[in-house]
Amino acid sequence: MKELVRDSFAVTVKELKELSRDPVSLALTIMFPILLISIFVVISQAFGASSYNIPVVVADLDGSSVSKVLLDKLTTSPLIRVNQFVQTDEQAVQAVQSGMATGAVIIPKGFGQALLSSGHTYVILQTDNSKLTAPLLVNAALSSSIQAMLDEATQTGYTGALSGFKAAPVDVIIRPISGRPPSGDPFLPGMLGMITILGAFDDIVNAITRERERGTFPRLVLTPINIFSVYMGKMSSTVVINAVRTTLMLIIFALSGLVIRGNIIFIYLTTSLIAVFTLSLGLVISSRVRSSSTLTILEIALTFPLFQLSGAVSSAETLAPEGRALAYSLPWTYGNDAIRRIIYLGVGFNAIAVDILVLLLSSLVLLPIATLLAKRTM
Amino acid sequence: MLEKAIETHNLTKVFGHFTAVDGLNFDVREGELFGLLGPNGAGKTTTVRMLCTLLEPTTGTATIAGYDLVKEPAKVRRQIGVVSEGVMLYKDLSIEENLKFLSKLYDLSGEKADQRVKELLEMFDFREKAKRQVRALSSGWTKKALICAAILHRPKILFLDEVTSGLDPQSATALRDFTRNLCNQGVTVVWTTHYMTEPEKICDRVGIVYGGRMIQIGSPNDLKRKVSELSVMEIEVSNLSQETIDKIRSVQEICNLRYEPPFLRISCERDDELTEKMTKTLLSEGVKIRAINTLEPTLEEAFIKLTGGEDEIDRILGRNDTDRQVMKERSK
Amino acid sequence: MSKSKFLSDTLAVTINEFRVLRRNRTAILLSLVVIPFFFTAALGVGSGGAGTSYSVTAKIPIAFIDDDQTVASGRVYAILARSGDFHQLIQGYREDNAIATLGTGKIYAVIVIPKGFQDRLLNDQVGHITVYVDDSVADLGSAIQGNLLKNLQDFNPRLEVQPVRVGVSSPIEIVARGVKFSGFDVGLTVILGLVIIFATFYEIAGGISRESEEGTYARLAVSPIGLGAIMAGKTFYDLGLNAVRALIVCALAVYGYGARPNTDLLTIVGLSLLMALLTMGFGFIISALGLGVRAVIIVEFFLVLFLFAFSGFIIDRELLTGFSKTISYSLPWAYGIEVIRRAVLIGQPLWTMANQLMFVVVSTVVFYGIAYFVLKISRERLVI
Repeated sequence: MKELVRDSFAVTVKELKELSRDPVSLALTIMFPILLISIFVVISQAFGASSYNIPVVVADLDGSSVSKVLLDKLTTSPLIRVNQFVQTDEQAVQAVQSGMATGAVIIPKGFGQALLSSGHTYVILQTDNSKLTAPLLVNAALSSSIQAMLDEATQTGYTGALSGFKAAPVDVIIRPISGRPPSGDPFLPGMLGMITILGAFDDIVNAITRERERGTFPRLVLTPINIFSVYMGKMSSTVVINAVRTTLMLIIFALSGLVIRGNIIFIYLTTSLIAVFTLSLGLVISSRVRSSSTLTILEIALTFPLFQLSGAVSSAETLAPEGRALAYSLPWTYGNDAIRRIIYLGVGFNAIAVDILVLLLSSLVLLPIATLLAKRTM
Repeated sequence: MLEKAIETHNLTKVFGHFTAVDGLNFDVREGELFGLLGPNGAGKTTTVRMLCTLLEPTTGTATIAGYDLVKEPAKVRRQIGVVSEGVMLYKDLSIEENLKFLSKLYDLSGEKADQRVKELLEMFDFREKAKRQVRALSSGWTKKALICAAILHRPKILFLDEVTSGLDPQSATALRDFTRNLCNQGVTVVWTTHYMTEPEKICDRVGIVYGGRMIQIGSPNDLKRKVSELSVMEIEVSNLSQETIDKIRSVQEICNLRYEPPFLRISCERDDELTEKMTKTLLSEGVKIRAINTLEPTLEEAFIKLTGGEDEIDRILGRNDTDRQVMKERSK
Repeated sequence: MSKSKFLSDTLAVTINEFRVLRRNRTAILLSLVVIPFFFTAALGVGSGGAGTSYSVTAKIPIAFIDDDQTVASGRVYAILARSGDFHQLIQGYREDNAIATLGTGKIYAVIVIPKGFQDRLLNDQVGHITVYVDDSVADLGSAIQGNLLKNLQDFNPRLEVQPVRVGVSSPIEIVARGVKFSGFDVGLTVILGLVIIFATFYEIAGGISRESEEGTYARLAVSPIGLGAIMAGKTFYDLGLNAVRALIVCALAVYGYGARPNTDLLTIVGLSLLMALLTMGFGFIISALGLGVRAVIIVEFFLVLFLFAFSGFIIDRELLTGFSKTISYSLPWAYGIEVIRRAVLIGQPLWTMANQLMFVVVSTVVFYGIAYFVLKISRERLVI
């Protein structure tokens, strides 16, 4: 036991020394979290902004005083920018189809007349649904403009056909319980998870594959050291490096105003276990994949599927049924879920115990397999 | 009179603040086997890399097979073949596939290419190894594969850079014989090596490179004669004082003296009485002698001899008194 | 150099690249299976495929607390339970218990019908429902709210049988036109772009780095072949691979997940190859830096992330502001993705997107020009 600890410690120190002299891995360790967060801050700022400049064209085929009120509301909407007024339906549609505008609002002839006489009319909204989010915002802008128009009519005591207008019968009030900032930032805990995963994958490349390529791995195993000690040493160094990454991420979180409700120790515990599991899996893979560049590309190729399926970007609960099933079969999902709940909900150990157990058991299963495979494929 | 296959004009290569090759001037005649001899880091490989257009000279130029190195590199490449570290074959392909690919780049047409490839594979006795991936070949066979690739297109000039390193003695001999044959057929060969004994076996002339400069050019016999005049003695001693070292250094015939306790290494002009002189001097100073051995001169010792002594080396390399003092301190 | 020599050298390099690839099973696997397959399958599995509609809230356990205990509140429960959006409504919790359970994973929301709900409705007032939600799960709150409002839009407490037709609450109805696309359909264009960019960059920038490390670039450098032929040969090789990749993604999307592109396969492959060319040009420039293969892969990853954020992959460019917008509108990939998206989803003819295509083409030419120049001056870095 003493030998195991001593040898593992020696390997750990060596790993950390090597990392300190490897600019590529250092860059990955330090730059990657910063860059990833910066990119997602841009994204979440975009999603959380209070005003946009989404180009919309309007065709007022009615030209009545009523339609002019709606036009007025549209042009002052913070979500869209009415950049052109066109004369015909076809022109409006063409503007959207050509990409000049994301949406076209077509106020049909007789709009005002119908509204005043029967209290009921319609507006046509043509949107470019090839876009991801912008059409929804155009729809929201139109809805809110219509609502504003109706509210104004009600407030000014209008007694026309609109006076009988009833709002929807049931109103739903949402009370969020999380500590998530109003701006959203739903990605941040997931980013911590992803950075832990990718960092651990990269540690594998350094830990084993490059050693094999350089010939230092055979040197190591020719000494009296046990292969298990080697792996434990590399595992420990990964835990240390991961702690550095996690600290960096938490600093970035703090600087971006995120309040961490839960115990930071649990965050370190969870990310360490994610790293340990990822490293264990990587050790198994690296017994078959010998090239560091192949392993690196494999690592990165897995990134985007993991973004999707491990709860980093969208929670597993909100995926399609097959996706959910797959997500729940990945230990990383449990880790990301635990991080999210610790940060936003401040849950205690009891609440994340199952997640921790899944990660621990998965690692415990993989590590002996990795050791066995390493012995066979030395 | 034979034409000059290679002629360099102040060929220089500077990497940052480091001058790897400094104003090299030499020529190689057609059909000659020219040796470039020097220790590791002397600038031999850098010279070869410039001459085969891998590196661009910082200043100076050369004429290779009648073409200007700097102005007509593409034409130069058609005339040369190279075996050098860092100029490799595709490891995932077999030697045969590598040669067939390269033959296309040298404008060898289908049938001609096939014929030439077959000829080379037979010449080097590849047989079933011809279908094996290059990565699966041993270093010796890989080297043969590299030579095949270098001579595939029957170049006029061949650069063989440290080509015998890592080969067993028989293979090295076979390679030297093969190269000699090529020269007899009119191919000009530049052969770089750091082994002192190699040039005398095959080279027509040898250029000694040291510190990026051409120190001397001459035939191997000249070289051998100069070196054979050198004698190296290693004496295992104890309690040697600086005074004693200075006294020994003052002995006229000594070329070089280095003391790395407990060994005192003396190189000097061959003198049958020198051993007796040295022994007497040491004993008179009360030095205890444990053993005396006669050794082959090291490359540096040979260079010192060949280049006319340490002073000459210093002059050539521009070393000043401070540098010499530092080197003396290091030699104690 | 003559034209025929250039063409023959180019062809020789292209064939050689395929020969090397054929011998490297791992590269084939990564390039043609792992990257296109993983990316597309992840999207399909996560989104359920094209044409699949699933309710985000259907399978999420939600506590339902009826403090009103009236006919109206009972009818609310019945409507929600039958709706297809709330299959796991759990009754029996106390409110304080339920709220305390949020965050444990046992329940994700608590719907509370307050006392007085029916009274308010019968008095023509708006009835309030409160939902406590674990909104650490992104978008869950808005999904629950949306589905509740949708199902209770025409709720009438006086009627046992609620109106079936989804009526209009507002006097002004919005008639939405424009074809709706599933998340998979929209995501497919993203995946196609990502796969092409990712794999292409690795093959070109990584390929030259590998050749430099292994000494085969030096081998080419001492042969009569020109740099142009080397670049052209590798370009044709990679175009071939990208054509195969685009076909794999399309085949998986169409036959595996039911996607229905609104344009023909030739257009999709052609546009993919255009994106590949653009990326190749950039890849050649990066390869001139003389980075190791692993460093190139890391650079590539950062590049893809960067493009992910700024090229309209996951966020419409219209939503970006300030500096982000400027960056986005200067990235040629953004225009390429836009063209692919509009062609594949809307079926917009290419000639109507001539400006965007021109930007991509010109950028490609510029990248190749810069790459040629930079590779020429970086020759030593790559052969040492």
